[in-house]
Amino acid sequence: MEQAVVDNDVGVGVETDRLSELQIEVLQHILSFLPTKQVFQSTLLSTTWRHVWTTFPTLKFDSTNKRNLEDVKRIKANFYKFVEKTLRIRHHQSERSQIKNFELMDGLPHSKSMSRVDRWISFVLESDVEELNLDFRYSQIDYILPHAVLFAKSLTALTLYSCKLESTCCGDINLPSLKKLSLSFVYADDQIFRNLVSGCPVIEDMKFGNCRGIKSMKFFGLPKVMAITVTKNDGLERLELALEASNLYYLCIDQGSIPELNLHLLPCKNLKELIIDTPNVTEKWLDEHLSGLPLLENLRLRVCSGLERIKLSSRHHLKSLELWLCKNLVEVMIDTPKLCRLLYFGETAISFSLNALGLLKAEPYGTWDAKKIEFLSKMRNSKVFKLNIIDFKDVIIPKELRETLPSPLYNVKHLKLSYEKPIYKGENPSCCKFLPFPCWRHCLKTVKIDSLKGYTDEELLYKYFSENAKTLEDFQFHVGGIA
Amino acid sequence: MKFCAVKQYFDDENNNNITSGASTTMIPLPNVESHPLAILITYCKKHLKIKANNADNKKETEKEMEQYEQELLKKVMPQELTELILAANYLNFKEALDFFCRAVASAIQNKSIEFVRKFFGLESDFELGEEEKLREEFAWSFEGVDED
Repeated sequence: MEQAVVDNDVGVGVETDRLSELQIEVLQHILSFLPTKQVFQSTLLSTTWRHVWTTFPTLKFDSTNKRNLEDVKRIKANFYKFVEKTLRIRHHQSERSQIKNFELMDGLPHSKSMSRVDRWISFVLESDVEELNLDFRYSQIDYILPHAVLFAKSLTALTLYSCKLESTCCGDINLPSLKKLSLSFVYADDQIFRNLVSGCPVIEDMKFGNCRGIKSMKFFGLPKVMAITVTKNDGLERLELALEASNLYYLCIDQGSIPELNLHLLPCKNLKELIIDTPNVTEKWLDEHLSGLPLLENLRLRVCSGLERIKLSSRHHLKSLELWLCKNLVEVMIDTPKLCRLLYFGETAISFSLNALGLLKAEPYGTWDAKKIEFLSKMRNSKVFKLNIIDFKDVIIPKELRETLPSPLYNVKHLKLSYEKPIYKGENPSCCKFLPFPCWRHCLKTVKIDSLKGYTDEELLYKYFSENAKTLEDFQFHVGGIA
Repeated sequence: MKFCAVKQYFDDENNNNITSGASTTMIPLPNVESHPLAILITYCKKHLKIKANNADNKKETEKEMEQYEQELLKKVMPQELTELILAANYLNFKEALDFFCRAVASAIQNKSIEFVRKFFGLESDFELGEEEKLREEFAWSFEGVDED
């Protein structure tokens, strides 16, 4: 056996080629960790490696030139030549190798360039493609998806960005293996949507985002569906969910105000996460569903202006609740030991009652006033308190208020501050000797500050906290953002 | 499953010879040198140990494993990686094979063809002019590659 030899002059290397003794699958496994261009280059390593590359199951072509804008035409021309050559080599192989994974990102300049892409796609479909990802966001025209894609037996995942599904050439859709469907900025119509729903019997994940042309969406049947996302689709007038899907665990509806919304979610007993951004939600609906869905853990309600009161009791099983901008909200009553996380963004001049012994994380937003302090005092049972503020001076509670109200967060052990603007110099607050409860200075154990601006304030803040928080154990300062 | 090939050997042994004393059986491994084998055994033991320590916490296991892998890579010379891959492949040791493949990939990432050839000990066996022709046809894939 040959020993490895280090060539001190030029660099590392081995004497003889041992790698080519490995099976093709192992060599392809190594290639799978490398950037696509380098995979393509491997054809030039030696004649034996050629075969490794020409049967490589993943092809990703991205013609968008991110680095330099000069010489775009030449690079584009090279790109087309390259894709043609790659596909033609496979076409002429005696044993057609499968293209498992095909991705294409291209900016089509005019409709004449569509036929070239059509040709590529048709070849890829003949190679039993399983995952197809087409992204035409940089195109000047709307790429019309070839009919054959919606009939591909081998397809398990289809991701389309910015193209058009035409009704006349689609007819019935039949995708017997499709598990994942994601359409973004796609133009389709009601008929196509209906055909998609009925033509994908084993679909698990459906995503419709920013699509145009669909007026009515009805989700029914779909026995294996696990996640559905419907966001910001223009012109959607009617959305209905009538699923018996006991596998649905994630649902996200972000459509703003929609004329007709019917969500019958009670049969979806396994629903775990629900995100709703629409004013159509009523209190009755919410109450029914919160009690009727025992496995629901995460709920996010955004811009739900139909809600005035929210009541959570121990018969509800929520672990995490997010309330964003529900502007008509007047009263929130939470009394459940199961809630671990609460995020609230909105008016604080509301009646807020919080009795959640299990509360671990509380995240309020907004500026200071007496109401807010009262609001915060409700959060005192939380173990982790995250305060998100836009302006740092908001953290310094105005002196007048400090003297009149007891410090609200006396039990908070971990304080996480996230701020955007540079620090204002705060006055030295008076200590808690005269107040009935010990203040944060005597309880605070860790401080994590997440600054989006820079390191400059670190010393100031560190000084402030270490001088004031006697029990401080850990101080962390990050730039950019922690979760 | 670690060292599948070896396990298979044991199974066969037990089928043939009921009274075999498994602990002292000699298993011939003609394709594996002692040095890579030693590294693989250490890797395996470490992996099992970390797994046992963090029985419930999968994330911890992964984190610790990553730390160990980083340490290991510092001690292993790049050219030994080829031998390690061959050994892991022969012994059917999936996790180690995965790890060393990734290590090789990061060693050659974004390097030029010449570098990769040298790294693996490959000779360019193309005919005269054939390589030039290929380079020209594949011009797009050569945009923006590091020099050595």
